[in-house]
Amino acid sequence: MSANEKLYERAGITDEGDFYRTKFVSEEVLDARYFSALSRFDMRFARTMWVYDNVRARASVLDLGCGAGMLALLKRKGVALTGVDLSDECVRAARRNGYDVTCAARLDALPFGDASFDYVVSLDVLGHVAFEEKDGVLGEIRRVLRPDGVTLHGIECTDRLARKSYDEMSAEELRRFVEIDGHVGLEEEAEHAERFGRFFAYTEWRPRYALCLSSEEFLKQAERYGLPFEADFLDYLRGLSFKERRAFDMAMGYVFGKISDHDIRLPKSGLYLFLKASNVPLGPFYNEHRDRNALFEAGADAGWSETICLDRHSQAVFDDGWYEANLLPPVARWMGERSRLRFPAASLSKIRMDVTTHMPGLEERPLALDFFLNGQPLNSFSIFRPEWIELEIIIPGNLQSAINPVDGVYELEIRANRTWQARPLDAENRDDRELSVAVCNIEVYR
Amino acid sequence: MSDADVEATLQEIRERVRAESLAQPPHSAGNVSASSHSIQAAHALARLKANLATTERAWSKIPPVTSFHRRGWTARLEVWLKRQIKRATHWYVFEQVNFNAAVNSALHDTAAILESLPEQRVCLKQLTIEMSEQAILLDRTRRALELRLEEVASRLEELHALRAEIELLRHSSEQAR
Repeated sequence: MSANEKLYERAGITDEGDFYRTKFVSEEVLDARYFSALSRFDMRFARTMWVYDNVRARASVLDLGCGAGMLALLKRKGVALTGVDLSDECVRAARRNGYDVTCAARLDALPFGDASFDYVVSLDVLGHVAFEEKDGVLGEIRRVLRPDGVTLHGIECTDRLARKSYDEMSAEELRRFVEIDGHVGLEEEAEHAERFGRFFAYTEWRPRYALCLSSEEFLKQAERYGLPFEADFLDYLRGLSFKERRAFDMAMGYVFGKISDHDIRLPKSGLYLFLKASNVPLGPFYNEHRDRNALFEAGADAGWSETICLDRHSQAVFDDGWYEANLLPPVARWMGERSRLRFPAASLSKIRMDVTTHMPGLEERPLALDFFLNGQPLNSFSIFRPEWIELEIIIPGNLQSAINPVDGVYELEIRANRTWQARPLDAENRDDRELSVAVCNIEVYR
Repeated sequence: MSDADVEATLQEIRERVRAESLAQPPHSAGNVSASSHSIQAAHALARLKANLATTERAWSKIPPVTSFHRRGWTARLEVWLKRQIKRATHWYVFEQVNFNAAVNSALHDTAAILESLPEQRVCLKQLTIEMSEQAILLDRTRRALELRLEEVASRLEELHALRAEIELLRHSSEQAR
């Protein structure tokens, strides 16, 4: 039995793979083709953006402990992305989100040949590896990394002055602590750096998250880890709506990014560090290969033929009336009361899409949807069953002249007569989005 | 009939009426239309669910003798008699009851499968679109590779020609020497 397993067992976790599946597999759509460029400021993607800006385009990258695929965005840079994780389900989720190759394996026995990757990356993984196993994992990283390769890590840390060590915790304290995130290998920032120093000739690190945290992370650190934030500030965060939380996270992410851009040295956070190591001299710690142009395109498009699907098309612009894509399944976007979608087209004869809603009480009161094209009323219909409906809207000839697209750009607007909140009372998700319908497979015909 | 039976029958009627109302064409105007196949399938499913309410209630029941005065000693007598009849005829009807139970269960499963079909259709549609997009991208990559190959081939030809020229020059310089 490994030391890692012993600590997990002491914490009452018998199946590590299952534990990580329940903790880290989500229905979040991380597929790079659905990524909105504005989300580069979102605090949730701060770590991803650090890696994104430090990885060379078209390089080969191994994501250790890939989870559901937080680094899927690297596909925008044409990277060959491989993911490895303990959990089969995480591996499948990462594959679904666009990883080229994924496999389930232990991190101290990687199923790859020597010198296979330009970069080996991990985010929030090494804090889950027990102390006795860390050297084995680092040895594997060094083995699979090319001689001139770079390894990048976002690592959860501890501050022994502020927190008890594992040995000082009672069985119940340990169970509660490990159960939160599965941290069985938290070390001090300098200890991580010293450990990497034994495997790589060059190591650099920066403490992060001392200032900026997402609203969710603030609450988690306070409520679950007992970090002392001001009570009225926490109350304020608890009261934020979905949109307000997003605004907060965007502001935090923006500041986080500026700290990186100016390479401002932060004090020890006791929470997290970014670490870069290699056997060749390192380039700049931040933005070594910064090129964000690809964030503004959804990647290679199939181009415009007779039929085009707008869901992932680079020239289709979904406005703020749409929420981020969700895996229902299929992958679809929920909208609020009103949403717009702009797209260029030489001509337009028909629009088709699949629509559904989970709104209750449809039989008593159907949900009415109105469609407009470039401001002109196109059509209306009602949904009175909570299931997928295939819609086809023919653009009538007499409307073609009235639509008058400016510069060949069409704007499809959908208005719903009401919305509902799916999970307003779910304390875990705090999801108070106002939803009407979910839409996918939006195809336009010439 | 007991209150529960009356309630169950009313529920059945409600389900039927609802299924029939669903069978009406949906409110739509002009040229917006849901696919007719999916509408028919949805109506069939609504009717199936309405019928399931009947099979759910009646698969193992003996019908009531009367539809009134189902209280007091007459009702108790009827129930007692039916229980005796049930015991006495068990050898004869048990296969029919098994069959009814199996049909009821199979119809429930069928309804569940049918209910998941629209979602599966949309997932398949999404997969089809993604595959056709990938096919176009692959075709584009293939064409780019073919062009690159042509370039390499023509460069190779140039190199061969250069090599031949060099050979010729070397040969003539050797002869001149």
